Amino acid sequence: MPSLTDRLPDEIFVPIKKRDVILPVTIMMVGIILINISLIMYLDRYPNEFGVIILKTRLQKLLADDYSWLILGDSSGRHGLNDSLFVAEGMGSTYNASTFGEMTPIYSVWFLNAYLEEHPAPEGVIIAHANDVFLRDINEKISSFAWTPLPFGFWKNYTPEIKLDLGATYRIFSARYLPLLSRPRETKMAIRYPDKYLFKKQLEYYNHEYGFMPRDADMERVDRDRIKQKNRIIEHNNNFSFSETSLLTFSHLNELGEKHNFTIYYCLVPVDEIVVTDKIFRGFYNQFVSQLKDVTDKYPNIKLISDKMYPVAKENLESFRHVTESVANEFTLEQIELLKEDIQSNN
Amino acid sequence: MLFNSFTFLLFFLITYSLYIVLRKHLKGQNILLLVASYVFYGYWDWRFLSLIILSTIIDYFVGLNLDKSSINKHRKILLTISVLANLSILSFFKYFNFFAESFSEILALLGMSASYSTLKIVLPVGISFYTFQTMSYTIDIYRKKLKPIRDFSDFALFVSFFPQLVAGPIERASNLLPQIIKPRTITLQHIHSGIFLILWGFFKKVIIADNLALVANNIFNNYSDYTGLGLFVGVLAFTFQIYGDFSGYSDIARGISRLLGFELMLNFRLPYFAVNPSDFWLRWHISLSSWLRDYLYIPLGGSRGGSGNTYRNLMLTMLLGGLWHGAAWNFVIWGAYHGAILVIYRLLERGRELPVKADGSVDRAWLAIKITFMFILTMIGWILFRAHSYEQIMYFMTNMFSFEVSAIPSLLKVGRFILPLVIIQILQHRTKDLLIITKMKPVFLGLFYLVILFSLCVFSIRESVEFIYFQF
Repeated sequence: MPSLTDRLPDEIFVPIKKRDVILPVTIMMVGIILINISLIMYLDRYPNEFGVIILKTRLQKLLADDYSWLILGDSSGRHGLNDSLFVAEGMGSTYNASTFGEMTPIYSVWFLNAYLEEHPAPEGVIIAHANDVFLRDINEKISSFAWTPLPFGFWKNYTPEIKLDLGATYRIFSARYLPLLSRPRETKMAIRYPDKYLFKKQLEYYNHEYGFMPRDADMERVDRDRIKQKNRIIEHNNNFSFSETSLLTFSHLNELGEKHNFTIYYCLVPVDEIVVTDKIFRGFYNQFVSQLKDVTDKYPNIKLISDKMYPVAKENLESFRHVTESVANEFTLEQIELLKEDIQSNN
Repeated sequence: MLFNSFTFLLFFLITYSLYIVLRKHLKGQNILLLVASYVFYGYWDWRFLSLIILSTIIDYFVGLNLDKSSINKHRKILLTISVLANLSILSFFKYFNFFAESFSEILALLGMSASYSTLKIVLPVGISFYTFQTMSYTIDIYRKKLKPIRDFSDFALFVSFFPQLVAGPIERASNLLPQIIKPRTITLQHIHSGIFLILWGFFKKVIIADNLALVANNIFNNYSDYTGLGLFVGVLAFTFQIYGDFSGYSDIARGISRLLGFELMLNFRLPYFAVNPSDFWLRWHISLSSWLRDYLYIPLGGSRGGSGNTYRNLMLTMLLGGLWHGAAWNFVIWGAYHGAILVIYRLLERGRELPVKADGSVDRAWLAIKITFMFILTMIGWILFRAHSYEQIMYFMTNMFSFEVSAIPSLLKVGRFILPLVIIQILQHRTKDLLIITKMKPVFLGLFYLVILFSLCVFSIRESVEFIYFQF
């Protein structure tokens, strides 16, 4: 009569040889190294992470030509300043190489350095960042820096004062050379949705003549963003102060401007109209502008295009700091006029 | 420190390298493992190390004195000291608030009011595991089944051995202590099966349990948004989540121990292939169920003294087994439910646990039906275990068993994670060999490991998720 215990499975050991242990482990290790190498090559050609694509296409485009004007910044600049209008208004060739907030303003130094190594200095550089981006420190989202398509260690060559700790250096190394560990989302997407992502050139889709990206209104997102932004301000006890990274950025930009004889114009990007009416938002914004003026007073090669706030109604926003295409065009034309006035007064 | 973290990987690589260097010095190895175990535990919260050390000191001296004394009265007093000390620590940290609240609620039902205050007590990780482990030591010495250990650091290592410290298996002194005091040899078998257990354990935890947790949490937390098959999918996801999570931990713990030359007890034997509740408890969390059998059920009288006493003892054991899992009524109800189905099956089966044909062989068709039915009963048990309120339990029970086309995509999603586990377990079940995978040709085994490692890199949830059983 069979019993319950007769049915129980157990661990059955059989004699084994060394190769039974060594071979599977070797296959696993070699296989994983080969997959990782293949992924480095594959993701270089077919990245599907928006951040990687943006950085790659923008740097490629930036280095491909000489420009009279360069626009550098985060997404508020990417959606807020139309570089084609610069050309149309006779400012000369212009490229908006704005990326995203996580890169922090220091990326402007890296891009500019890379550009100046291969091209003559531009007439001017416009920096367009939302105010909270200046709060962020380099260590917050270090993996984004790793996506910057410049040789490993570029942050030392271009910004000698920045010293990354061992952990941050490992994260950059891992993001670049261990995609199996650091970029699983892209790998997963290619496996799960091969028709959409596998061997699909997302790079081409984003590689346009101009860097400006028009946006449509999205009021629900604006509402969500307002809460998020306010929480961010409260996290900083309603106090604005530039992060170490941002202060380094200004210092380096000024050095580059002096060395290559061009001006860096800081552009106050359009803001959600709530900044005018809400005490917390306004207080924070005023602190930012006041400290930014201290910076422009300190560094002769950095100027503010205008210290005027540019509030935008909710219906014309895609998010707290992304304006719609029509507002972007109006805003760009206004900035161009102000720039022309400044250039004329200098001459 | 979580097994599924880079901190642990670094910790283990350092510990293991030193362990190999000290391979000819048993004492050195044991001291290293003790220090590593305290670091492993203290990394979570160093203050709670004092509880482990207190438990260790009490049971070490009680053990020595139990052995010295031949007077029964003295021996009973010593055992009482050990059991009371351990249960007091456990009760205070785990059950104080639960009992205070429950007592007050009972008084309120009787129309009386009692003021009570709950304390903000943090539950020390793994307290239920190591208190049970150390209690079994003194009880076995009291029963004269075991000789006490003289070396304090060796005993401290027995209590705090890091691979199984926070989520078991709950080891017996008779199994682990001899391995601590005698020189260990790391054999090819140890390494071969150890690697398999570690990788397979990680797969069960990181790929199966953590991914299914997303589905189960969503459905259990928003249960009123679901009906029919949608609810069933949530229960199914939790059924495999808890198995993957807990058995995954046990596998990793046993695999790591094997690499160190230790052999820990088997904690799971394909529990979802059980044909009845008795069979289930021979396969699920074996180290706890056998502990409860040896130190609670049998001392209560076991199956001696007639059916009535047996059923009472079963119910009591399962109720306490449920309470062991956590200080909440749903765990008690879950224990009572398992006690009840154990009793009902005993009454109905009357010893005929396996369906047998006329020729004496097992009837496979009936067996499959019995396994399926027991699996459904187990799933119902997990509803009691996972639910947070009576309303939630009732909602699941009354709405779960109907078909709903809209839930098919969720079912397929859950199926995607369950399928690899089911295939391998069918293989293990048919061959009755839990290590059957390791018997593949080395090239195929290498490819199997490669697929696991690739999945761990690509399909894992990014944040390290704690093991469910840490809270018990």
